[in-house]
Amino acid sequence: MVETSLQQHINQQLFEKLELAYFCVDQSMQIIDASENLENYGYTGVVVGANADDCVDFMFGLDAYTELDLPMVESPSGKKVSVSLLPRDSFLTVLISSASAEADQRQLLQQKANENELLVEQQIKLMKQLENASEMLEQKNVQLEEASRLQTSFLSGVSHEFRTPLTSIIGYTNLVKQALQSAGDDGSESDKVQHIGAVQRSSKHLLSLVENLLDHGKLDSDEIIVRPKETDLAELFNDVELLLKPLSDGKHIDFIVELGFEQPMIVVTDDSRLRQCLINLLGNAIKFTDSGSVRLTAKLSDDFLKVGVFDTGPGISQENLAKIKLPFWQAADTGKAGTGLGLTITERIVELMGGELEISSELGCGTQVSFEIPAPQLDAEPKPVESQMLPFKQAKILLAEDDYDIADLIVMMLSERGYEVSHVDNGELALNALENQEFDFVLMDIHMPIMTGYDVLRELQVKGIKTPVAIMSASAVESDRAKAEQLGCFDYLIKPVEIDDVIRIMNLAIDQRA
Amino acid sequence: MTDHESPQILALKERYKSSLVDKMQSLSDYLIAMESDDATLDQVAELRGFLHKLAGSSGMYDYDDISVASRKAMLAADKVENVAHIDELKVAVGKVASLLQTYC
Repeated sequence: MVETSLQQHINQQLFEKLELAYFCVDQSMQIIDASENLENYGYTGVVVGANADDCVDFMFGLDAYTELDLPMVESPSGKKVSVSLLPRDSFLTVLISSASAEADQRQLLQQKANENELLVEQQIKLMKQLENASEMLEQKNVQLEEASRLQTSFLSGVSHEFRTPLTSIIGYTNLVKQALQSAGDDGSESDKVQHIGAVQRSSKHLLSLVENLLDHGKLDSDEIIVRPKETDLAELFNDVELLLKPLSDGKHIDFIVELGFEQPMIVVTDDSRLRQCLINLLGNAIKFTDSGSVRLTAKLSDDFLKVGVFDTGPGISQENLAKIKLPFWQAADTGKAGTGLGLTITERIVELMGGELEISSELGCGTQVSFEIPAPQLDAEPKPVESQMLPFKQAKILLAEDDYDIADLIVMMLSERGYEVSHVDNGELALNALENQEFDFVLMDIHMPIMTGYDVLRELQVKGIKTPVAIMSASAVESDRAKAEQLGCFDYLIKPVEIDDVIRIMNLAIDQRA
Repeated sequence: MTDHESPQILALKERYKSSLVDKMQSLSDYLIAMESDDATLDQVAELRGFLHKLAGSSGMYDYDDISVASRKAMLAADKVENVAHIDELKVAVGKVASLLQTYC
């Protein structure tokens, strides 16, 4: 090996820098050269002439022809070393370098790997916890939804059960009131009329609360459907004004209605839902206004109806304004009774009608509620003759009908129109009544117990009783009609009968008889 | 019926609605009776009478679909000459019953 002094110097520097040691062996593994610094690694017996198999443990079993790297070998000094076997023509150079930096690096990597593993484990654990929490929340959500559904279902059920008796109370107290008013024209029954009026007012209030609960239930279950149809807006707003005027009068506040259109103003909208919204908003405004006024404005613009309700009530704080549309919410300090549903329902209905309810208010400055809904305008046309109120002719009517569902309905509808109606539920009683009392008109079913309608007609002919009789039957068979006409009936109506048809035929019969 | 009905009329409507369950039950009873071997034409006539009333009352209370279906079932009952051949009537009555069920 011939080397220049400069090369020797560089090699020396490198060896020192890299802590390199070396030795060379011939093909019989005898050491032919060795660096002095081998001792640094504890290889003290590695000297020229010695056999590498004997003095260097990692050399045992190796040959002098194969290039090989042995990382992380423990040297006799205890230091970790890296060993490289570099075969050349007739000898093998064995380079030994410190592996401590590499070991440190490996340790660092291992540490990082461990930390990473730990982090991954922690992440997995956290993910699991999150999943569990999410599952629990989902379960809670399902439970809450179920509880809410049950609550709504219960409220709807109870409300529905309340509604029937309440409507009966209102209906029958109305009849009692009418009877008292007729009997006490001299004022003798005025106290009772007032008491009945109080019962009615309370019942109507209770009914409106119940109906709000029912509507809320329906809105919750998406059962409320908006059915737009031809509607005279002016008539609707006038109706609402008439309905609510007594409330504002009762509180001595002004009720101002400003309509930007005249009657008739025909548009397409759901009149009953619009009416409900107006009644709710105006009802609230009047309820919470103790002095000043409530103003209703409405105008049509580009097929949109803009409605505003302004009151001079106490106003709503910003804090309460945020909560006012929540179901069942009521300001604690108002002292006004209600379900807290009116505004919620109105907002939802306005949404269903394609609009948005807006509320603005300040304490002490009143409240303004407004909405805008689509209301396409139609050309105003006169109402068909059929829907106009038929002329009223005083008449005493006998109804012979064994089906009480039908009888009660017809009696009620005719009574509401001002007619005096007597009801019997079989043919024999009908005949007796006609023999003993004067009636202007008879409305009679065919299929009745004891005597059929045909039997009664036959007997009336025999007895010469000329009271006009209209037969009503669910049978549309021509032979049934022919039989009834042959027996002298005035007309033959097929059930279901329209009350307007009954009145029209009755008027005709009375005119002819006169 | 007008758009704005009085509480009395609404009360009657509620009463009628709540009676639909019983009416459906009655129809089921008629159907069961006619399934038996000893069914008679009198029973068919009785069923026809029931359908006749239902056609009238349901229409009065705005259940037009029930009214029309009942009337069709009445016509099916009119055609029955032999209780052994009442399949058409049973189908028609079944239709009425299913309509009643939708309102119960």
